Amino acid sequence: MAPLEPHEKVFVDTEFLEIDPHGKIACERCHGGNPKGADRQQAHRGVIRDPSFPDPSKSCGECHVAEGKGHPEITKKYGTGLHITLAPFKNKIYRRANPDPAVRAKIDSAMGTHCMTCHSSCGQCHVSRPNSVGGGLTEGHLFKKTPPVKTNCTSCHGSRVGQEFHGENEGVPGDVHHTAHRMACAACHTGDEMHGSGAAKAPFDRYEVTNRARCQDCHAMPGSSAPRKDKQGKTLEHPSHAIHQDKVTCQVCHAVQYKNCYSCHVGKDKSGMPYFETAPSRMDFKIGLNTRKSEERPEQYATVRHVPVSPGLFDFYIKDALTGVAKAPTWTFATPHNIQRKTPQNETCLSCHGNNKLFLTSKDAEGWEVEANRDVFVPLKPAPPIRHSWLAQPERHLQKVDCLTCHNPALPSPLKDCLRCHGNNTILTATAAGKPDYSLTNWTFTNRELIDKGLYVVGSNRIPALDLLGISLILFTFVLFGLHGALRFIRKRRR
Amino acid sequence: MAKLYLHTLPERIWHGTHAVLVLLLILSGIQIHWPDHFALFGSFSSAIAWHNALGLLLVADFLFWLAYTLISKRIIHYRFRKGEIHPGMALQARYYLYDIFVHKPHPYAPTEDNKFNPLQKAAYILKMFVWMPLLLASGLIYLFPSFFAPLVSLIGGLKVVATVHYIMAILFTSMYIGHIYLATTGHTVLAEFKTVVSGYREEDPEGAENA
Repeated sequence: MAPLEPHEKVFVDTEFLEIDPHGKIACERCHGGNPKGADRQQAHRGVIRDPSFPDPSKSCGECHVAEGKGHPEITKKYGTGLHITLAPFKNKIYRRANPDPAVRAKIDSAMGTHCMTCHSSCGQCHVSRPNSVGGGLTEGHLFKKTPPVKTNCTSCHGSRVGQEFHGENEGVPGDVHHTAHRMACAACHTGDEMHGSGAAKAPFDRYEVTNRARCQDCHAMPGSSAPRKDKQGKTLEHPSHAIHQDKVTCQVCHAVQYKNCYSCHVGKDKSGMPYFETAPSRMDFKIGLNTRKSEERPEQYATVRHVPVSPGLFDFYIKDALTGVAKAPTWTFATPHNIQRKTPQNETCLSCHGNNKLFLTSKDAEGWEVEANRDVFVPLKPAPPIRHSWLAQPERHLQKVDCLTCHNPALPSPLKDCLRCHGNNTILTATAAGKPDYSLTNWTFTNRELIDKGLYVVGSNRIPALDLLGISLILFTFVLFGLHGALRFIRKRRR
Repeated sequence: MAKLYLHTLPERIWHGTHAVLVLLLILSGIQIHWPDHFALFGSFSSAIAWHNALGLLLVADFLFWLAYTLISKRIIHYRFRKGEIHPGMALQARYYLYDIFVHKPHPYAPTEDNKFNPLQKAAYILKMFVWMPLLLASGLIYLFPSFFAPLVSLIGGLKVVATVHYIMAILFTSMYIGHIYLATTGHTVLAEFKTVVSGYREEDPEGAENA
């Protein structure tokens, strides 16, 4: 996002005075100052740049609090909004922080300089750009009911979510909600969510916000009777949804590669300007175990994103600040915003099942991170051919049989009864599907008859050489004992 | 003529049942394997049904034999006595390969507490304690593959199970033929057959017999 010129930041459009109801309110009512001041300096004494931060009750709240007028619920919930509390920053740092009070004080000070400046407010969404990205009025002080995406939402949430959503990562398509349906952030993340949940206990982070956006708000799962926001939307009929529901998050199948950030160090330069440094980010796609399981998020697997934390994050201010880095994962539950209908992992079942490189393991973590991510690492399972080795010809079954034939979502467990396909009056007994390879095709006295006739015996050995050996052994037995008996007979006659 | 009581009633009932079951299993197995050439049990699927049912009976038959042999302590007949392995097995082999033709006496005539000769013991131990469990276990796994899915997976798939079952079937067929032939080597061709029916064995008046 290009920075604004200084005059653009403060330019108040006359339209604001003419058409915006807020333009009818005197400037000093919200911004303070002294309109009777004799000069500019006197007039601007006590002017508040953002009247809505930190406490909007004396500005926005003056009107938006009364019952039946404006949006009284907003100011009631305001204090619980994560844009205001920045609770996730604190919570996640504190989980890793050294418990020593003196160290905590230094951490708080450093966070105040760095992390906690990334807040927003009523004004920094609806009137101006957020201060953390330089501020500046977005449209000449006109109040925007829905904040503009580029100047507000992704000006802060740009490096990861914004770039993913708009397809700005090289070679990675944008989110289908944006590219195909031109949906903006507010289509899912409603004002209700943005203004806070109003819960008595502040949520730990955005995934605990009770009125947050959910895919299921619009996309109904099979059998769901929950009301949906998109009345024209279709129920997700593909059987894969029924199979994977409550097992994997939507993003596991429908997100593509996303940005992962590594390391972070904060400090101040020689002039005292705060700065932060991160290691180069990497595009990757990783499925980990869901460490945020709850009743409404029961999935076992979720996409996980690497967060830019490092043991030396606050070294500039105090050493050993994060002595508990192992207490919180660095690969965290994530909802990448580059949703696609078709992705590499939902191309076929085997694109995911058995594709171990998609799953997070200890190989994806640096030494100090291994303990922190132990609960996120996925214990790898044997490859599908090995897991299906109880079948007569696992490779052939995996090649020829649609996975859903056996892993039928309508059944409580995968079908393992061979005779459902290979029994009497089933299709395979009549059509000899999947003719086997013969190791020695010129020997005809073997199970080949079964196959040629369309008869199938589950697991029949189909080893012609074994027939030859077996018949030879039996013939040899006959001949041996026949000769023995004949010799006995002859000897007895001569006796 | 002196008589020895060699086979108890349960043994004789088991032996007869076992012989019939194995024979029918061999025949139904042949039809399943070469359905174009044999139709003794009707259709292909009928042969499979017979084979499955007879196989389950053979499992019960084996368990009965095992329980009876252990509980009655008649397993003692399968124990090698001193000198029976060496030189006993060589002597018994020599008897079958040469002595029997020159009417020499049997090196290990049966007694009421040691009715099998060394080669019989070796063959029966191999058959009843190795081959038969393998045959029955592979048959059961083959019959209930989904129930034994983890085991099937462990041993390399149903094809391995099928192959083991087939090899065991071949060996049993071969042994069945040999067993019937060797039963004719008593002091008369039918003497051993009578023994296994009545339980009593008539001793060879000339002392050159076999079991």
